[in-house]
Amino acid sequence: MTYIISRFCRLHADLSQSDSVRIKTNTMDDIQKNEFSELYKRALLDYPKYFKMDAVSKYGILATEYLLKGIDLKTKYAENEIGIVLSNASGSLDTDTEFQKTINNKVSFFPSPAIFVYTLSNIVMGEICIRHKIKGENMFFLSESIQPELLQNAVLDLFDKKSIQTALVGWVEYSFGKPDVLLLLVEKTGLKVANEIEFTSHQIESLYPL
Amino acid sequence: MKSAVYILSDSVVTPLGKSIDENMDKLYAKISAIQAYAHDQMGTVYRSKFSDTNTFQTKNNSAVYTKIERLFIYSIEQALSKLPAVDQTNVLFVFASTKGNIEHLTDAGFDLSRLRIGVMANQITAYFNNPNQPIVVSNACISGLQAIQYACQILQHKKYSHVIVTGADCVSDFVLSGFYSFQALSPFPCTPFDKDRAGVSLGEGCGTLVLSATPQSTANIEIAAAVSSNDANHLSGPSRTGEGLASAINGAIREAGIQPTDIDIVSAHGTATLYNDEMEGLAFQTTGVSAAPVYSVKGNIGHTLGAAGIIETIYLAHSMQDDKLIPSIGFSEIGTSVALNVVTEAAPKKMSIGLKTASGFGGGNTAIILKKQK
Repeated sequence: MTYIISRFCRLHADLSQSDSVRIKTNTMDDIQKNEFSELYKRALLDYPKYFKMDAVSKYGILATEYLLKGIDLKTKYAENEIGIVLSNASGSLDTDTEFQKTINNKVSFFPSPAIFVYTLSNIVMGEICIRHKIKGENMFFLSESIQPELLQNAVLDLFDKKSIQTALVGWVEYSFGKPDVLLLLVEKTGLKVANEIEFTSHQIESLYPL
Repeated sequence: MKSAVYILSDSVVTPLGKSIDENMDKLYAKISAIQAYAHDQMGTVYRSKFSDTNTFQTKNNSAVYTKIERLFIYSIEQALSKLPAVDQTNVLFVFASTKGNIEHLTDAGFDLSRLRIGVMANQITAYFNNPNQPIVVSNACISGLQAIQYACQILQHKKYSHVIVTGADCVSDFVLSGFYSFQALSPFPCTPFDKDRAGVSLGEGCGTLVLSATPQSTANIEIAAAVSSNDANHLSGPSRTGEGLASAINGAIREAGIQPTDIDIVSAHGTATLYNDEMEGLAFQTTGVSAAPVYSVKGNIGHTLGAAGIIETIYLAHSMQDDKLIPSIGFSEIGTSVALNVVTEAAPKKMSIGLKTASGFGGGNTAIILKKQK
């Protein structure tokens, strides 16, 4: 049995133009203005809940939209056979700082439940699960930089246990206004054909700098 | 699981006690560490917190570590002290925490990189001169159980002789005010599964497990299965049907190769919120385990968030070794639509197979099955 990266989406702050993000998938390569309603329109998203989300969740939802464009996982897999393994460095620190502002002032102490719910590292994963009905194994790791080997091994172990038949895998980092996302769709195949990307830590590494 | 994974050593440090023996004695004696805390804005809330005199000084350089870092170090040292010396080259650390150093978010002069739990983990493994990149699992309230799950998976590869799984979270105004904003804090020490339950009480603590695929003569508890799922339903509330948790429990029962009726005891998540406990009752019924005695320790130590899964797995393992039930304090009359057999007395009972569950924000659920060797 071979595991392949059947789709990928790289979304990150563009280095040459500070107000832009670059979005690259198997089929497209685009530079867009880094503005949430603009990105929503360009992704042809129809999911108003997006506007309530924190930044890391918005970028996670956007990247997943590009990753899964035109395919419906539920037609190929049972909901609890679809797994998800994500990671980042900063957890929810950006939103933690926002929430802290609502409790700093002892006079106008008003902690916001709408913000607090986003003060957990794994909430971006929860949002993606809700949007795409992913009900299988779900793991969230924190590491200082993307750890291709950790991601590869954790996902292959879940395939080995027969807990999952497919998985969304990757890195969803957001810090100081800059998104840094790599998402992969990993599937099983009987025999790998020439142009397919094998799911290895080396391939994860080579997709990340794109 | 292909190769069995054994618990070689453990440590639990909570406001209930600084050793596992002290914790177990107080659980059996129905003692709670939850106390009232008067906050200027929130009013009186209840939580389980170490007294200020509990500073957990480390052997070296105590001053450079924060409270949660010292707590981790204290608990890990205690777990390691019960074992013959292990070569750190062959040891992997797996950390579980939801908020790490969050209480220092507003500290002027605090190195903000240490708010990243990965950086905190590196500091702690450096204290133990461990050369391997630590793994950090942060998946809300299932972090602890998932860290155990990950450890079991990595031990299948025989790359490491031991995996140290350690989880901690501290009670801070940050987290208290968040649960307060959800109106999820109980106005009295929380009462899991009771008809008058009214929310959660938060707690702090650390639990550490030393796991290995190589059994030792003294190790008689095996982790037979660990499976997770996601509700894909709501961020801050469990599914109404318990479908997600049921999926994890069914997966764990399959992985362990047992029948639902083989389960002798269930250590529930039991946060004492209306929805969580109701959802758990439904999941236990769907999976055929609702006849087994069930308990929650949240009434003793509160909800310790990322540490909960590890602390509560250790409690379960000791209760199975002692063949003695842990009573669920605060419970008097069933308050879930499914009739559950909630434990009220620390009675003797032969136990060979135990189920531990957790569910959390973001929709995650994990189920773990422990087996006692004959």
